[in-house]
Amino acid sequence: MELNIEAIGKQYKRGTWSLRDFTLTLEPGVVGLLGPNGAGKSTLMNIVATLLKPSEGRVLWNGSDDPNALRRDLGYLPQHFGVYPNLSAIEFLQYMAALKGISAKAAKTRIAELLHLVNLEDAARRPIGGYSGGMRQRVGIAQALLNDPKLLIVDEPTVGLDPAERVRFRNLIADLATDRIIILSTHIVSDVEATAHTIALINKGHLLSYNTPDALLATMQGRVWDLTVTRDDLPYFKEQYLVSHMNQRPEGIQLRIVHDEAPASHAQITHPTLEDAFLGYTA
Amino acid sequence: MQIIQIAKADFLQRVRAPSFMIMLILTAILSTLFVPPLDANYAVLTLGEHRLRYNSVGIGLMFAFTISVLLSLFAFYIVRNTVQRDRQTRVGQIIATTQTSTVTYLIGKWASNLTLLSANLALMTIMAPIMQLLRAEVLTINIVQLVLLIWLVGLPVMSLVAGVAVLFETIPFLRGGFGNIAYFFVWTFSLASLGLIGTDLGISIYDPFGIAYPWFAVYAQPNAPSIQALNLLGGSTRLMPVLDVYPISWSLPAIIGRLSWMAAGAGVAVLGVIPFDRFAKPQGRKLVNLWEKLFPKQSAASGAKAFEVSRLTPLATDRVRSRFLSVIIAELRLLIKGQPWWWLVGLGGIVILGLLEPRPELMVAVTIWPVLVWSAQGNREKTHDTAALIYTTPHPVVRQLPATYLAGVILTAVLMSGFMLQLTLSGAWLALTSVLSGVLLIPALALALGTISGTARLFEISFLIWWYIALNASGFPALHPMLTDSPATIPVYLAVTAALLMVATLGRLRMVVQ
Ligand SMILES: Nc1ncnc2c1ncn2[C@@H]1O[C@H](COP(=O)(O)OP(=O)(O)OP(=O)(O)O)[C@@H](O)[C@H]1O
Ligand SMILES: [Mg+2]
Repeated sequence: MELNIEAIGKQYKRGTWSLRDFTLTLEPGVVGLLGPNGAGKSTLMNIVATLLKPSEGRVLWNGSDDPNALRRDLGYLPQHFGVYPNLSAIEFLQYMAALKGISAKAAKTRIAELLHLVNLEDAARRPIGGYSGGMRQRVGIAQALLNDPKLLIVDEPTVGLDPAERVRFRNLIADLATDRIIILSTHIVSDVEATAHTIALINKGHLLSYNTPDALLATMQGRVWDLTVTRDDLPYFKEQYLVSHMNQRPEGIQLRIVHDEAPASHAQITHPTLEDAFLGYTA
Repeated sequence: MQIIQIAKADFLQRVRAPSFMIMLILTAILSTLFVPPLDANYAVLTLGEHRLRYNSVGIGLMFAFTISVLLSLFAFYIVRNTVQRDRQTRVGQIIATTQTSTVTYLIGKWASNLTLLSANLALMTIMAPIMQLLRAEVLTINIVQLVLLIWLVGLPVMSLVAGVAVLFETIPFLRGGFGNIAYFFVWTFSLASLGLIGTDLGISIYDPFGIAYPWFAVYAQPNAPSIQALNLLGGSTRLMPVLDVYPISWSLPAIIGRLSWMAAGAGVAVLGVIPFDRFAKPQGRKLVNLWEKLFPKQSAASGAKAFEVSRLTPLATDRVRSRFLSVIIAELRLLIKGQPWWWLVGLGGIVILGLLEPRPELMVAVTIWPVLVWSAQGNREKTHDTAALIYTTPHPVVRQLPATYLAGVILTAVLMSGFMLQLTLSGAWLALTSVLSGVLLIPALALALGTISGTARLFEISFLIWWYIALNASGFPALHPMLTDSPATIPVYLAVTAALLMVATLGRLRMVVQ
């Protein structure tokens, strides 16, 4: 099981490149795509999911570039998607199961189990048109898992989920990760922290770093500083340095700063977090 | 001003869509057809045998009439979904929470519709003198007459259409495809009622279409032949005699009459305040609330109950393979699913009707029943934004598209099953074959038009026009495969079907990565 993304580039209508020379080889496990708004995460995922044609480069799934071969093994949760509002969750999943080539009998058990998994059993027979945003998102998660995909692509999957559902989803991803490739995009660092085996940092269409979380943190070692400043000095520091966190304290304002050298003589080196790495690489 | 801002944003959004360019190009092409060459054997306007001389008044009249009578139909479908788009993009929900009053919002939408349609009038105003010079029957151009005819007749009509379009979108049951059908009949009946207006110039201000006044002015000309039928799109096998038309003087009451109709268009839009829900949560809200009261959701605590992926029954690999039949069944269920129970009852009624009363005209008439089901074909993925889900399943072109088509064919065959059984029993093989070609043709038309336009409207309006003409042109049974049993037309219908399927396939290929 191997996914090769080879020198992918995407240019929308003669505009600028949303993705350029993007190369990555993935093996089973969870890769977190981390990047700011407009970085090109969805563009990349749409290309891998065979929804969008790359302007250059190609995607190989187990050595083949036949999109239908990849589609057979694919589960895809897009960032934005619609549903047929008159159908119930069960009916919609039945339809998707047929399109994915699952027999009616196998689909029946599968759908019941998935609805249980995403906690939608109670609403399963109501039209999706009346669902809340988070409930719809969970229908999307269920349809992505219908065919027991070997390649699971989820674009900002936790958007709209409440904290309890978010935890459920993270656990779900962790459970699923054993024998498949999961690509998960987000700009919520804690989602990646909880589940990702590797992290691809992406900004302005370029791959900045591809590493395990530990290795990524190691590259930030010695570049994250902790210091407390007065209210008057705050504007100066905010202007000059990359501030990753602020805290109100009785003695002043505690800042977390990402910088190669100490921003002030009384600054202390502190342990980097993924949040610091994200800012350090993409700012 | 707020109204202008709303209209402007809306207008820009539309002008930047490719459909705007297509509309203008079509208008330009049609404008040339409205003024056929001097030796053509048809004319857009005829008075008895006569065609109008191609001077500025004659061309102005021809353009004014086509705007008033024809564009008034299509204009509705062009500006149809401005409120609906706000609903879909959720811009509406944002607007609803601002201070914008509903009246301001509706007038803004009306103004945007009207501006868009005015672009068409402007283009026709440019095309009119060009066509006059091109045909070169009369070379002096009277720009005042042209402008007055096109805009005094056309603008109020466009204003009314713009208003009706907004009003329809505020009324829940007219919002969707049903409204598209309803408008066709509103338009037909309003045109038919034109004949009720007397020939008195004074009362012609009651004519919303604005064509009575200039037309009576032509009748009043000394050279006009004694009262003869006015025809839109008349033809003759001989060279048509030419009627000279003199400049038309617009009286003050007539101008005020036109301006009143113009204002009435905004008034119609404002009527929408009564039914408009201001983008409250879409349909089914009350039902859902009731449901939740009856069957309260389980508490959040139980929601966090443990679960394991490992408990999922694994899918045997042979369970995942291409199953064309189950995709057809799934597509068929999708067709039927959204329909209310009475629609299915009606479908059953039609089958029985076909058995009891197998008259071809009747059978063509009832094909209006599934129009909204057919029209969802081919554009469903776009309309409901499910393309990202559907087009990433295996074989969206070679498997899903044919399945969609066949589901449509099955539905049509069921609709006609009673009729076809009767034809079989009576051994009318030719008629049966022809009906079968119709069963193949209609879903192909729906699929092709839905795929290339990305909306349901194009099929709905095309189908209605075809349906209406076929039912009314009793001399031409070949216009509809269910009316004719001539062996010559069957291959034509089959060829058209094949061409339409080709169009649908190409349209789908464009949207899907190969
Ligand atoms: N359909 C499109 N047409 C033109 N440009 C587009 C289109 N889709 C995306 N882009 C551009 O491509 C770039 C990358 O967009 P993309 O949606 O991939 O970002 P993203 O990383 O998913 O962002 P987000 O976190 O906001 O979802 C952006 O600059 C965007 O403007
Ligand atoms: Mg995105």
